[in-house]
Amino acid sequence: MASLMDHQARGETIGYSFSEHTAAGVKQHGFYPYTDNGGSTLGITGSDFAILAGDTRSTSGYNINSRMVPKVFKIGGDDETGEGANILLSVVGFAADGNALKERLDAVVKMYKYQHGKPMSVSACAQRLSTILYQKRFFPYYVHAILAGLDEEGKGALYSYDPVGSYEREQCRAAGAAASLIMPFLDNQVNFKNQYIPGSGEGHALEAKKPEPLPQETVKALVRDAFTSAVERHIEVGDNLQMMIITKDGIQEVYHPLKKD
Amino acid sequence: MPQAKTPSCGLECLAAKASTNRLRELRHSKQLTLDFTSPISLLLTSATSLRQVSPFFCLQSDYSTPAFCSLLRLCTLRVAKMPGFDFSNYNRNAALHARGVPLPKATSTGTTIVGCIYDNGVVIAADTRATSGPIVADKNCEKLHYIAPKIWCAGAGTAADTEFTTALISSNVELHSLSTGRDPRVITCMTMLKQHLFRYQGHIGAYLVVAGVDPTGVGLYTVHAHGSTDKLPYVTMGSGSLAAMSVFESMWQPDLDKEGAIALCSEAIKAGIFNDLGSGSNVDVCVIEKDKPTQLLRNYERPNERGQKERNYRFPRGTTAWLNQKVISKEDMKKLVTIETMSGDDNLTVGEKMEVDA
Repeated sequence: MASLMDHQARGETIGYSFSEHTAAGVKQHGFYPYTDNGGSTLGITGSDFAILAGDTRSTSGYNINSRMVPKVFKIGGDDETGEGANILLSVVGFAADGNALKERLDAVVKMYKYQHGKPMSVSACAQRLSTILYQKRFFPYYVHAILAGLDEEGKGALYSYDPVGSYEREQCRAAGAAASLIMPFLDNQVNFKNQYIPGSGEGHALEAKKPEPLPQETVKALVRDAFTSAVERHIEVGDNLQMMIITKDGIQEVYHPLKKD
Repeated sequence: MPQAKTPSCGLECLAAKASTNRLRELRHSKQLTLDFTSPISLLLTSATSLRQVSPFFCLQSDYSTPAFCSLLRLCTLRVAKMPGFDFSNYNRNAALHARGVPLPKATSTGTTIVGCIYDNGVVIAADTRATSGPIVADKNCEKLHYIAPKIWCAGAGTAADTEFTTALISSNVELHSLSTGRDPRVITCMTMLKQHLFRYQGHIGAYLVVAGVDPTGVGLYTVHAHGSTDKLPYVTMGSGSLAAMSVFESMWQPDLDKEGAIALCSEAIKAGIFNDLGSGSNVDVCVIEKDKPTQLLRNYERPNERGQKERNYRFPRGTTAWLNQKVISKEDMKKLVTIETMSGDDNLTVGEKMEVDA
């Protein structure tokens, strides 16, 4: 019980919720500039590819704003179709901020190419995105961003961010409304957490199953299974699955129908 | 209802519908003495209207008729120390809440329920999703509740409140019908519901659509948690009520037949399922017609079947790590608890089988 109350204890004096407010007469007006538009995103890397995926539902409260609002974007492309891009960005949370962040990063990556005459590397873009997010430390972009591409060695690269710019390179990451449903599944199926090699030893000597980069088809199937399962148990996830696969040959985009209830 | 085995007990009959907790309470208070060593057969019934398992202690198989069971419910009320709700934790919880401890979250506020009358009866329908915040708690729950053979209720709001309120009123309606010797009326049921709900000033979060056929004709009402009621030819309630009402307002006509009413209600529920996040999964329908038995069409439509998973998620035996094991033999267990071996026949399993994904 103590641990429950430590979090939000309002001091020692017991103020009953039904007791009259003492500070009468002062009326507080509020404006909350953020809304949660639901949805979920997910990224997984392989030895020579990276996949970013997200559902296409946009919600507010119990309403569906739209069944087709993509959350994954090509960054730094030559035209509005994103042709020629080598970086992917997914944003989930507050859609307006997500859009603004995407536009801003896209402009930055394009400017880099025009000024330096070469495309921006994924690691440089990752660092730049962190800076952009931290610049708004006290009025943040209310989004959980994931950046994907191929690193200098041609391996899949994935970076995930918190809303104020803390970031980390990872093998896989789920974000958004159903992140808490999908992430444990990914830990187990991508990084083989809690999986041991049968008969490899007794007690502490039992050998853990070592994670290794998965083939593209396996990863695609895992992403689809993750989303069809998230749709079953989370009301804000559904309608369509958008998947972008980045390889040395470019970016491939596929859509997949999800349940619409 | 499963039949009791013939008892060899001296008592003619004694029965109490009670939760296990209530029984324990009664035994402690010595108000009801039950000798558990005597061959009392335990009947586990899972009635369609009451989804939780209610143990019936019954000594004579002949007494498991619906009429008798409602008498038992009355018996239970008689032996209880105090009727009604227990408020003993109220002050403690108010103090905890004031200190910042959050209130427990109840299941399901999002729902779509509808009702519609037609030339010879009435149709009610509901979706089957139960939610707890943004998480789906039950993908195929039952929101259509039995009140009397020809009076049914669709419930939205707090799941426990709709469940218990309809069960209580069902019991009282049956007793009322037994004492008057007449078939129960929909308006009686609606009045009992509104008086019960008004007494609790909206704290019982039950939002209901009451429908049925009685000697005065066809009845269709809505009852809100605060006690207000409406009598209309077509009604909707719950978070999906606007989506469902838009279907009624564009497609309803005064001369509907049975098939037309079922199709319209089903369409209204589907509008809720697809456009309201609080509603989802399947459509349940109940048709109550004059001079015909009531039809409960469970999962009348299933527009949201789950697709096949692409990968196989079975683990090889030995995948899970363990540090030590201890095997307790059945003989050792017998020293601590009583063990009775049940027949391995699956058909004898009491209660519903749980639905699970592959």
